[in-house]
Amino acid sequence: MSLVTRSSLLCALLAAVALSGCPGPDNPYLPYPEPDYDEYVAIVQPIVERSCSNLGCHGDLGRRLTFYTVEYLRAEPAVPGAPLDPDRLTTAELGWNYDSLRARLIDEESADEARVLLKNLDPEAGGIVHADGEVVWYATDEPDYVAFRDWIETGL
Amino acid sequence: MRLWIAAAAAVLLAGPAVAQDAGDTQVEGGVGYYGNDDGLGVTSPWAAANVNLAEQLNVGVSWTADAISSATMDVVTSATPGFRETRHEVGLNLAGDLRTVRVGGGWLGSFEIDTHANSFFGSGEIDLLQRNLTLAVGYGFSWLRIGQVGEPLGIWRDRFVHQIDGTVTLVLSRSTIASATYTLQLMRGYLANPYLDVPVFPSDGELQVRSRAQWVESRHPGERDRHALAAQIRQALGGRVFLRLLWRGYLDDWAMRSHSVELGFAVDLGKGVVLEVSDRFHWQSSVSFYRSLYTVNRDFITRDRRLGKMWTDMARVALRPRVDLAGKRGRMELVFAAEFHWTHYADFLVLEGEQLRPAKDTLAGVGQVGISWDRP
Repeated sequence: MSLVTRSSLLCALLAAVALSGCPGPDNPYLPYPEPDYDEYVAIVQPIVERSCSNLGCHGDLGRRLTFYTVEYLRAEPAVPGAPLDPDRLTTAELGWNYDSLRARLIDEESADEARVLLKNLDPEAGGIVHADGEVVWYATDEPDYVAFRDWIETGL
Repeated sequence: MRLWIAAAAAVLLAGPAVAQDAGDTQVEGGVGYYGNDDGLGVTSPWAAANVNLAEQLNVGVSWTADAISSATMDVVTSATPGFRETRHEVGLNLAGDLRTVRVGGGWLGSFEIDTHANSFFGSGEIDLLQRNLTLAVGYGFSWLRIGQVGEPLGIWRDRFVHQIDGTVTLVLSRSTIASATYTLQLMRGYLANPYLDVPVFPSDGELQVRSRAQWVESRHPGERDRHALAAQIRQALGGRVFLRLLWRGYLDDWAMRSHSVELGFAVDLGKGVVLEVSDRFHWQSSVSFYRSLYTVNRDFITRDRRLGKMWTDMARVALRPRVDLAGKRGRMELVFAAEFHWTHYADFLVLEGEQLRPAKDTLAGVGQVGISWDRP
């Protein structure tokens, strides 16, 4: 008899007797996937800068997916008032961007079907409609699409 | 939202009894409106017809639509724009009598822009002890396909629901009827809401504001076994007043427990007019993996406020005037109903701008107007 079946029978018994409740499923800490960080910095961050991060899109802190870039959104410096290098993101900013993207890869089983990839691909080419109707890539052989896809694969 | 729609449909479509003799026809229709202070509005027209094809065979069809408009897809954060959509539900059912045994079955299909559902159900009922005892069993199976607006159908996710219930109804005296129902529901597959992303806040003790949260998709266990036990007593008080008292207890293997108590009166005001008044109070605990705020990502993570601790009160008043039509044109019944819902979410936080704050209570109103016509 499986654990689920036994648990179900136990619940039924409790329901009949006292409606006192079951403990619920175990819920351990779930780490984010770990795609290659160096590859993110070298290859994916420039794609994000080019395609996703203007202030009307994912350069807006009000969005659920937000990216820091040198051109648009910058984080507050760790030491208030300290100058930020205008040509380079801080390690904290890059780490935030990396975490934001890999948090979106939980439960993905295949890079080709990752929602964070398909939401930027033209629906005509097999993509998913973006919230604003935005299309980043029109075909799956575009170099940025291929690079983004290959990076996702390093974490699955 | 869907819970209310289902509940409203059940109340509205319950209506009078089905056609009894061959050729009998019953037609009904109406419209309901639900509005709450979250900015959600639902207009629900419906129509149904039943006809007795043969002496003991009844066929029914039904249609319901929910025209939904909302200020936001996501009442959690108001981060998404408003939307409008329409859900259509169509049904077909068959019912037959075999002396003291009644059997029935049917199909219900529901279609909207991001969910398709097909449900099949069957039931049987037998009268015993000179009809003083009735035993009923039912089984239903639903298959839902769930996606997000704009997603291709190929990546929509499946949810399967099996439901079994059994009811014992006992006539205790000429004026008292008692019944008890046990319901087992087994849910499998994708059980989360694809629109409710969850913010995971930093655990470093610093300010937990929107701009410091990482967002992940909500994830619920892929199985849920639900048990409910309901007991009801109906009592006639004199010839014109009818009392109904209901208790329903519930638990599931996500550790949710709930209790509902409902008290209702129906008063025959004379001249074919019936007044119904009822109040239902519902209390529930949260599921085990529900948190008002997450500081680490976990296997199961949710921002569905209906999985948190909450209580709600639903008051309803309805007036049912009935008119016998001249000649053999049958009987017509009107329904005018109003409901008031108050819901308190005990451990739910919403993001308002950058800040988290406790959720305010939700107030909702429902208005319903319906008409049914029984034609012999």
